[in-house]
Amino acid sequence: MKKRAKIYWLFLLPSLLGVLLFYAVPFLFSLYYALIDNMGSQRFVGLQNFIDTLSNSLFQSAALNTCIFVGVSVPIGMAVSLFLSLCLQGMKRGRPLATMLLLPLVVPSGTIVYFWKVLLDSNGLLQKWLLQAGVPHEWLAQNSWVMGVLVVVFLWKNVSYNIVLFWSGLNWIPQTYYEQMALEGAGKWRQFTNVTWVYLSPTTFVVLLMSIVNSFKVFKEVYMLYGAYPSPDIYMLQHYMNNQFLSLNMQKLSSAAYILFLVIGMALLVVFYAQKRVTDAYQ
Amino acid sequence: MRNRRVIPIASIVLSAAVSVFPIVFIFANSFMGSGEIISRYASEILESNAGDFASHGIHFVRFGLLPQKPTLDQYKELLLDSPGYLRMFWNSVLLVVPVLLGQCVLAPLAAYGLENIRWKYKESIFFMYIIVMLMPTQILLVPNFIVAGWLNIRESYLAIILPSLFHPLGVFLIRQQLKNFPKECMEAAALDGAGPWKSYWYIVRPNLHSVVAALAVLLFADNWNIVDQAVVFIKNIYGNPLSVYLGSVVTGDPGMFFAVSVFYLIPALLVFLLGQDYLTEGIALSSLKS
Repeated sequence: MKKRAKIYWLFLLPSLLGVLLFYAVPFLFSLYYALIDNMGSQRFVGLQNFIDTLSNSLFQSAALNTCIFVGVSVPIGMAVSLFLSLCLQGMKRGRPLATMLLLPLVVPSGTIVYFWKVLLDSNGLLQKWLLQAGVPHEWLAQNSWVMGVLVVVFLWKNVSYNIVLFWSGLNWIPQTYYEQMALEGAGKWRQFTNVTWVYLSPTTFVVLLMSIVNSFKVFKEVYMLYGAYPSPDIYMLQHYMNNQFLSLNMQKLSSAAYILFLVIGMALLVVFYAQKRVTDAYQ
Repeated sequence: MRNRRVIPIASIVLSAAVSVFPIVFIFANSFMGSGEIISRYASEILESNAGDFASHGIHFVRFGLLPQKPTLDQYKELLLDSPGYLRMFWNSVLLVVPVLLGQCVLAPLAAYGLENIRWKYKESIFFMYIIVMLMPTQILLVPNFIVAGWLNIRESYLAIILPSLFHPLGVFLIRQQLKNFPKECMEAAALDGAGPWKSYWYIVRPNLHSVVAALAVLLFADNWNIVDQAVVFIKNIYGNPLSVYLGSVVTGDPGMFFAVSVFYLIPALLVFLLGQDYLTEGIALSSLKS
């Protein structure tokens, strides 16, 4: 029996070696790059690269823009997808509509970029309507709503991902729980707070975690709409990192990656801890 | 009672329409001639669009779904006279297929192995997988970039394919599914003398079809839409997958955009229609137990 268990390592090994070689080991190694002055002399400089990165004004504004985007798009995306999943749950013949709702999941960001341009660009349909409605051109031309455009374009594609997760979470809740509540004379709202909300909370945490990772994918939309050099209003950490790749600056790159890693790691810890508190509270 | 049903149904119908409308727009516009596309959507005031609404020297779009003169010219040009686009489409295929095949073989094996290994710290291996899975692409690109330098493959597609092959999402999804797999089946098989390989092939693997199909849809959706990695690793413009180059088509060759888009969308739509049932089925239990 003992020998048998060892064979299972062989099944895991290819994948484990891949994850170690392509992700874990080089990431640990990049800490070394973050602590030296340059690739030539390789002198140890302590935390200097981290201080430089954190005090770099470009990095600061990129970080701020990323925070704004994540802070706005994650809660809206979760609320919308939870609402739509709940609506779907109550529908008996909702299958074709659900298919339509999930469709954006597979649509490559680039293929519909022209639609967004026609709708939202400075000569687009929305501006045309606003102008015709009498909104002054100077006000429209200020261009300060480009972040809003991104949120819309991003949510169009990414809400469907959350719906898949929420929907499967909802399907997992046994129907008898609802019947039980209905027998006790509970209304829709109490069924929601006492059954749905409780049994959906693990799913909700998964959706929150995935939403945070996925919100970084907005780079695709920005790149499609505005190219590699967007306006400072939407210059995000993704662009900052990309520029360091192009200039091959391993010191700035590694220190920025570690800062981002620590921030996201802490956010994950908070979410994991909250999840534990919530599940403990219900048990 | 009636009112209560109206709001959910209306929201779903409205959202479904919003989800599908951009795709319908792209399809419908792909039957316009390139002259019509330019005269409708250009921001310059041209001879052909002088009648449209304009203000401050800007021509505003004349939005439309129905072509004035439906034509297949764009498709003809794309298929017969545009080696550049076809090559970039092929580049996308080259980037997606190895990842898809590799993940669908490696991930179930790894999840099965991990589930059955007896080692005190095996959950820490899984924890490492989860952490990698929850990191944004930009962080993961740093180790990918370093390894690509070590292996001297920075100029090759392997720099993108190899890391994606080992991305932990597959192992995560399948392991969650395996946790619900009845242990009795495995024990019965072991009593009958089936070794780990035999029980994998005849008992576990056939039960993983829907989660592997769901994984394939998710991986396809992600890799067919690859942008970030390509921007970092691919220097030659014609080496790009079409997912990246479409952004330049809007300004560089607007007349062709819609046909190229539809051409690129079709494989994604097919994969989705074939796999959508598995998407909800396969992930069903997995999202709950992490």
